[in-house]
Amino acid sequence: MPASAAARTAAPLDELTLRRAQRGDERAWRALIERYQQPVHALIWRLMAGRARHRVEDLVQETFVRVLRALPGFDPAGPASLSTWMLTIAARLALNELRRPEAAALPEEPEGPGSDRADLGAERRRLAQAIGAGVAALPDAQRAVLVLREYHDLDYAEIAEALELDLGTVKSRLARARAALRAHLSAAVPDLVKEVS
Amino acid sequence: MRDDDDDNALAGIDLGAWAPPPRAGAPAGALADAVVARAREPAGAPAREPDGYGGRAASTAGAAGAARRRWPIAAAVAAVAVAVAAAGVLVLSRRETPTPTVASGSGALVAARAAHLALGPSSAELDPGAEVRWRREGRRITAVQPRGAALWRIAAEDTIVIDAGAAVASVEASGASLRVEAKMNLSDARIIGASAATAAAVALLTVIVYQGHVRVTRGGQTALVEPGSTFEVRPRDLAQDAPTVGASAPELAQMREEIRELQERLSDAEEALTEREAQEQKAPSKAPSPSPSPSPSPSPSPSPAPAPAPPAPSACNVDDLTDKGKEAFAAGQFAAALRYFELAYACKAESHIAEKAFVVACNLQNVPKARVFWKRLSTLSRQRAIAICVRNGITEDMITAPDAPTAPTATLRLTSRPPAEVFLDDKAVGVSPLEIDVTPGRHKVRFEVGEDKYTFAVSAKAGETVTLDKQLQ
Repeated sequence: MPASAAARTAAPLDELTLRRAQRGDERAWRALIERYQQPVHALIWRLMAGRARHRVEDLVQETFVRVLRALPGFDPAGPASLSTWMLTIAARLALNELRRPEAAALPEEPEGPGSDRADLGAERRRLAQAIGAGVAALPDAQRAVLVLREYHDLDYAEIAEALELDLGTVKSRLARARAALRAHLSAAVPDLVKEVS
Repeated sequence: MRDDDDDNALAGIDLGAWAPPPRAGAPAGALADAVVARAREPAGAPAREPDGYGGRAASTAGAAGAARRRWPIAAAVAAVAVAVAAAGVLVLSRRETPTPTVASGSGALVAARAAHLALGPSSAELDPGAEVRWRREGRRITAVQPRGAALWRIAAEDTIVIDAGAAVASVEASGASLRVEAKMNLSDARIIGASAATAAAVALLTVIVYQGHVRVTRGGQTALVEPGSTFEVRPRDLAQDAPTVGASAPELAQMREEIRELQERLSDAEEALTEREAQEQKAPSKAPSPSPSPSPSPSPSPSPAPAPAPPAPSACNVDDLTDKGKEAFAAGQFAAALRYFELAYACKAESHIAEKAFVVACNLQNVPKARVFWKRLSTLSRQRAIAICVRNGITEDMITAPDAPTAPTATLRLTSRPPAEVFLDDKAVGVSPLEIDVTPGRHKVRFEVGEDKYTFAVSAKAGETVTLDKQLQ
C-alpha cells in the first residue's frame, strides 16, 4: 500500500481563503499554515532523515515564511497545485540544508524513527526503524525523489519540476532508491518483508 | 494522478509505518504566530535570500521579494505612515503633522481593512475595524486602542504605553512583539452586559505576548506578561480587583475552540429561529402583509421605523437567492453570501433576510453594510444579531452612530496581464486585478512583475471610476 495515502488527505485550501491569503489577510495566512503544516513538517522530517534534527522546526517555519512572501505570485491556475508548490519549497530548503557542511559534519545517531512511538505495535515499530535507517542511508538526491513519490504522492512530472530534473532521471533515481531500500529491508527485517512479498 | 508503478520494488511494504512522531511542546498556533510575525517584517529587514525554489510562481515571487528589499528603506522608516486611503484607512484626525517623524507626532486612524502603521523603528499591524490614536515624543509612544486588534512590534529603543481604556488596563512594552485585542470600551461592555453569555465569552482586553516582556497595569496592580503568555480582562473582572493573568497558550487555544463551538451552536439556533420566523410569516393564519411585521417585542422601547428598502426587481426568486446565500455562508464565502442576501432582500424586503445580511456583514466586519441592514431589522432581530457583530469587533455604537460626512473619493480599477504587485503612490496595495478607493486627483500606479516595474500616472475626479488595464511584458 502506498504510504502516500495520508499525504493529500487534507482538503485543499478553498479558493476564497487562498485569495485572501494572497492579499495578505492574516487569518487566511493562519488557515493556510494550519492546513499544510503537517505535510510540510512530515516532508522535511523525512528528508532530513535524522540529520540536523534540531533544524526541522526552523525549516518548517522558514518554508512558510517563504510561502507567504511568495504567495502573491502564486498562480492557482498554473501547473502546480498549492500543496505541490509548498512541498517544492520545503524540499528545496531541506536539500539545501543537507548540503551545508554542518549538516554533513554532524551525523547524529540514527534516529530510529518510531523507536519511541508507544502508539505503534512492536512489529510496525521494527519496520519503521528499518525504513528510517534505510531511507537515511540513501543519497540525498534519491531520498528526495523517493519521499516525494512514496509519501507525498507527487507524480513524476511534479517531482521533476520540484527538483529540476529530467523525467528520465526521476524514474531512474526512484527505481534505484526503491531497490536499495528493498535490499536494506530484506536484510534488516527479513521476516516482515517476506510476509508482504 | 499516480504514474505507472507496476515495477515498484517496495510494493506491498507498509512504508507508512515510518512517520514523524507527534509534534510535542509547540502550542497550537505557535508556528502561525512565528511565521506571521516574520512574514510581516518590513521589507528592509534582514532575510536570507530565497534559494531559487523554481517554478514560475516561486521565481516570480522570489524576484518580487528581492525587489521589495530594494525599496527605499530610509523613506519607509522615516515616514511614520498612516497606511492611507489606498489601504482603506480613514484618517480621522492629525493634530500636528500629517506624516510625523520619529522625533514627534501624533495621529489617529480607524482601519477599514488590514493596515500597517509605521512608527519609526516600531510598527503596528491593524486588523480591520481597529482604532488607534497615538503620540510619539522622542522614544516614547503613547497610544490609545479603544477597539479592534493590532499586532505591535516595538523596537528596543522605543517604549510604548497602550491605553485600552483607563478603567480596563494599560500596557507598557519595549523591545517586544505583542498583540492587543480590545473588543469594546466600557460603554460597549454595559450595552452587552444584558447578555450574560456574551459578557462571559468576550474579553474586554486580550494581550498576547510573542517576544519581550510586557507590563500590564490594571486597578493599580501591575503584572509582567512573559513571552507565550496571555493577559485577559473580562467584564466580570471589572467588578473585582484581582486581574486574571496568564492563560497559557494551550488553555487559550482550548478557550478559543470552546468559543468557536458556542458560535456554531448559536449560528444553528439563529438559523432555526429565522427559518421559523419566515414560516410563521408565510402561515395562512396570518394576514398577508406587504412588509414584515416584527414579532411582538419584549422590549418596551419602540423600534425605529425600518429604512425604505430597494424596490423589488420584476423577476427574482427570493427563496433561491436566500438558499444560495446560505450555501455560500456555510462554505465560508461571506462576500458571495452577502451579495445573495442583498439581492434576496431587494426581491422581498423581509426582516429575516435583512437579519441574514446583517449577520454576514458582521462576519465580514463590513461596518457600512452592517449599518445599512441594522436599520432594516426588527427589534427582536437586533437583539438576536448584535452579539455576532460584537464578537467581530463591531459594537452597537459603531452601527448606530450618525453617518459621518465622508470625504469624496474616486475609484481606480487596476488590471494587468500577467497579474502584478500593485503600488499606489509607492505603497503596496495588493495584487492585480483590484479595485481601490482613492482621494480625487493624480496618483502614481506601479505594477511590478518580478524585477520589472511599470509606472503609470492616473488622474481621477471625485465619484469617477478610472480603469487602468495594462498588458505587461
